[in-house]
Amino acid sequence: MKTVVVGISDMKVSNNTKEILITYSLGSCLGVVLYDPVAHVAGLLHSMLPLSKIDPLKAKTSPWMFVDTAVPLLFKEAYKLGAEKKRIIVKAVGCSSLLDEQGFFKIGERNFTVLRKLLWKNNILIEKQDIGGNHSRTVSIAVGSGRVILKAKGEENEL
Amino acid sequence: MSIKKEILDNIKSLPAMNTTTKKIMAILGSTNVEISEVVKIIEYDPALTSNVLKLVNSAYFGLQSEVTSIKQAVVLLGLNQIYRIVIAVSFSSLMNKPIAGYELPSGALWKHCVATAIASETIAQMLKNSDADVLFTAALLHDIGKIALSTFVDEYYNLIEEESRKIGESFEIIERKVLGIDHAEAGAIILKNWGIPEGLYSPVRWHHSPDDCTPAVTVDIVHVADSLCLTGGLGIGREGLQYRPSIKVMKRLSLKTETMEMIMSRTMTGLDNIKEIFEI
Repeated sequence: MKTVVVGISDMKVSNNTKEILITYSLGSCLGVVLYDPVAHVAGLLHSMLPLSKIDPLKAKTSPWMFVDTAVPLLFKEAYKLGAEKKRIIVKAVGCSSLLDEQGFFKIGERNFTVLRKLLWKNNILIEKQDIGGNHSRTVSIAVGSGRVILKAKGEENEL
Repeated sequence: MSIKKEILDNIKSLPAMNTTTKKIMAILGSTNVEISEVVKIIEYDPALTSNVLKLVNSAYFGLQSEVTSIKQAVVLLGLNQIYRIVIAVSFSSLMNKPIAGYELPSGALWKHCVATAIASETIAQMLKNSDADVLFTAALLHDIGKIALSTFVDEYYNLIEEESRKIGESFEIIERKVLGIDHAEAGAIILKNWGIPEGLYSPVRWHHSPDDCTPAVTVDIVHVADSLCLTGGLGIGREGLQYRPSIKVMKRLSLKTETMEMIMSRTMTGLDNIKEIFEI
């Protein structure tokens, strides 16, 4: 098995069944996992901020940084490898926050809201999610099986 | 022996700071520094001089011809850049190591600190604050205490976890409860032992508890920059985001969520630009 690391503000799609896509240290960042179980196409996205309008120039060079520019591109890249919208399974993780009751740093919450709006507009459901809290998360997907493993609070579980 | 005493002994065993670095840190933020004086301080230290010149000649700065003296480097890049290079060269090997107690792999703490330094600078620019050099260095060193606490956090992690569950408080409060000292205080003691001026170590000391000291804009900025970089997952350890931002600071600096997102984005650009000289 070959492990492919998805960095911060980064994305990878794959149809190589010998690969595992993984991303580490999701804080308030959003992790989106896609899988088409028929075409065996997987995608993993690690986005940092909700909306590209705060830095359009950055969005051009680094579209994966922003949820609103990254998610449509993630789907397009998966389609290129043969994935089909009707079969795609979506899982979402991350979007933690500090102990911030006043919501000064509610970037995680905003990231998730933008994702939900985008998917809702396109009639796509989130099959599973592990969102919020104050901890960091690591998530991986095995391209061959579509198995998603979530590591958080010192535990490893299938999502 | 109490855990705190053991930690304080551990701090004493840390390597002493290089004299040249100490001298450079003492003049940070001064407005009337003679370039010749800075050049003399750096050139007195051949190892540092050669490392600084190596970086100055790296592709990052894209200089046309080879720079062979510190004086030439200062003329071409300016004092601010030279200060940053000296500080980076001085601390990267100490802070680049894995910090097992916090589950930070090799390079993660350094990356977090460099990102916090860039974020601090970005906030300072937005607020038209002129403490950029001091801020950059203080932010770069704000988590140095984690090096001294690491093995103790690891050893007592069961207790730390239990306490976290019980009181659900900010991580530095749990550290204090279980270990008798938190990483911010440990960091300030390290810097004090090194003879670093108070203006530099006070943002380190209070970066998680700015409400406990006399309000100071440098403390406020490092507090926000650190919180933001943790939020963004830059060098995030096993304690995750278990830290509490200060409401008073957020009100004092009046930074909205959208502004914070802009700072985050600019910090990422800054981090890309500086990657090579900081080896992250």
